[in-house]
Amino acid sequence: MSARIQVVLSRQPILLSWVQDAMGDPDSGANLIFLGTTRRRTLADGATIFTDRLEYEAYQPMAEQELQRLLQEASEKWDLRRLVAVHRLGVVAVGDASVAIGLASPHRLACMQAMPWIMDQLKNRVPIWKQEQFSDGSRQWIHP
Amino acid sequence: MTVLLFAAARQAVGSDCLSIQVPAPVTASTALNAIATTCPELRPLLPSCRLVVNHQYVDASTPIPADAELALIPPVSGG
Repeated sequence: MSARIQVVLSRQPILLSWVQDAMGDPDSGANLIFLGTTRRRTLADGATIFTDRLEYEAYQPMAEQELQRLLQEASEKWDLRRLVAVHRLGVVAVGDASVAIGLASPHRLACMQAMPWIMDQLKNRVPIWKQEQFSDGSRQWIHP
Repeated sequence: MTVLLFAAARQAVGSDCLSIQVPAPVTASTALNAIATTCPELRPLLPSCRLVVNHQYVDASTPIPADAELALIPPVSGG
């Protein structure tokens, strides 16, 4: 059975119910959603710095294609029936989700093995950048 | 040829694109050299950047067609 892939880049908050609906599949008994959110506190060189918000930009047509390609690759490695990726663009406040990945498969192992691979690939190759804006007013492009 | 710029590269140049002159045949490697010559302010960033041709990452020796869409991709940080 073939997999269905959906990719969205959005300037609006991520709606979990939309992700869940997009994952719906009567032949899947396992459903896994990963949410990446803006973290307030970061430890750097022994000091704690506080983030106010993140701002995301993308090379939009390529980011959409690259997300599509990596979800396609995941569907070839694991038995996944639904693969959904939503990534925010623009400003994302502390606590809000910047990325959501939803996976549905007949059995749980496929989802649970695929999720870390998908997030690693996303962080390595999808042309999306975040600029961190700290509580002292400074800004910095994040280079992993 | 025009090169699209993003994030730290866009900020370093102060523009979202850059025009470069590259003698044919163009490869990713000669395009990156032309970027360094045209925009010295990008040189510190270039070793960590990747070149994209028509929305695909390419190797240094990949030939680039004259009408290709080029983009300079600094280290990405999605998620």
